[in-house]
Amino acid sequence: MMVLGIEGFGLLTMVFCGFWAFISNHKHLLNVLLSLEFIMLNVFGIMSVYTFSVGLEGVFVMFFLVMVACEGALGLSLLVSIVRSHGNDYFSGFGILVC
Amino acid sequence: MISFSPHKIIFLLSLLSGSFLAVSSSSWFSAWIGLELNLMSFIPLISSSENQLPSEASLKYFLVQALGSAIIILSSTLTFFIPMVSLSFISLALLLKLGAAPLHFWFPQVMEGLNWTQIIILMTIQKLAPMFLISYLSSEYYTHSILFLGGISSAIIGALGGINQTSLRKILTYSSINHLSWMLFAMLINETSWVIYFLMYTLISASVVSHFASTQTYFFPHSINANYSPLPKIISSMNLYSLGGLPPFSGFTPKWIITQEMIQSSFYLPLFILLLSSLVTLYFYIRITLSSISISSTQMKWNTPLKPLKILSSPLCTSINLFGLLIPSILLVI
Repeated sequence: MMVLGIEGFGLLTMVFCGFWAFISNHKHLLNVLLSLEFIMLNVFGIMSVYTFSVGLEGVFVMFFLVMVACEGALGLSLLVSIVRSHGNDYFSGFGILVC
Repeated sequence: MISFSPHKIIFLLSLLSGSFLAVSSSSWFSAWIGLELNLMSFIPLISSSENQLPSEASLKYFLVQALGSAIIILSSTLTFFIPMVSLSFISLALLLKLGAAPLHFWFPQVMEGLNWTQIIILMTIQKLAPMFLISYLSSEYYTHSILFLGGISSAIIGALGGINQTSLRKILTYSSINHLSWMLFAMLINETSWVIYFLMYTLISASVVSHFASTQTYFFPHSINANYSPLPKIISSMNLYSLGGLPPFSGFTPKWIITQEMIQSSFYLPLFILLLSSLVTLYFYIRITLSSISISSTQMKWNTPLKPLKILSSPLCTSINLFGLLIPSILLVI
């Protein structure tokens, strides 16, 4: 078992800040997608620092980046779909499906 | 019902390939890639920018699943440093992706916005990859209590949540949560039994949903007027009894297997809770069938042919639901 250094601890704190922002009550949907990208950015930081110490090369973090970029694009296309159907991206408009 | 347009075939194929990639992976990283591929292929199948309901359901599904994936990839990176916290987080994130209680709150809302063919996929195929990944974790010490908690709370919430529902989609949601509890407990004891339970649950719920899809009944009062001849009503009631685990039907077989395994492992109190909760779920299935059988609906003078889903037709449904009790006799031969 290895030691989580100061850089890993800082990045982990940033990840939890991103989670906090994700679950917070925002007014716009775009803020939630932004916080999701922030989480993934910091996970990218953790992976790129610590995969080398395990023994893997730096190429594995590229696979991660590809999937994260695809996910971000998908989130944005869902935002476009929401704006087309609702007219705005306010969270207060998402009340149809709540039982 | 299933219109095989080209983009749906492509997304369905990549959905299945993502699930298989996640199941057959040797590391958490490739499992995460499989889960992401699964998510990204399912979103185009359920989203539509023309209505408010599907777009909102797809958005909620995306946000919840993206959160789960983020927790999985974070925890898989940290397994060398803090093993107990990261394995617990992975199992919690996989429970979130499944829709098991106590992280089930997105599940009824998302199911309410989908139509029946999308609901079959969400109830069966989307459960495949997270369940297999949880089963890889179920032998670890740190995840045992989380699966226990998830199982018991899923049973109770699945039972109590479905009582006050009139929407058939929400009833099936809570039934799915309840069946998940049986599968989570089966994972703790014997891996073969949860695979059997998953296969039987897939077939039975697909037959239930295919009957609802052929008559396009989405709410409780629609099931009374939906059928114009008695035979589909009888078949639908047999499907629902089988889903609830009533003994002459085949839904009883996987519950019987898991009950026996749990007694042998002396899990008496969880078994008691699971059996009582499945009794409550059986109550609200029977409540659906009672109205549709006993209230006479208008009979049409001319025979309009029903259009069932092309995959599951009535003889296949009855054979699935009636002949499952013969499965233990097959296990005797092997």
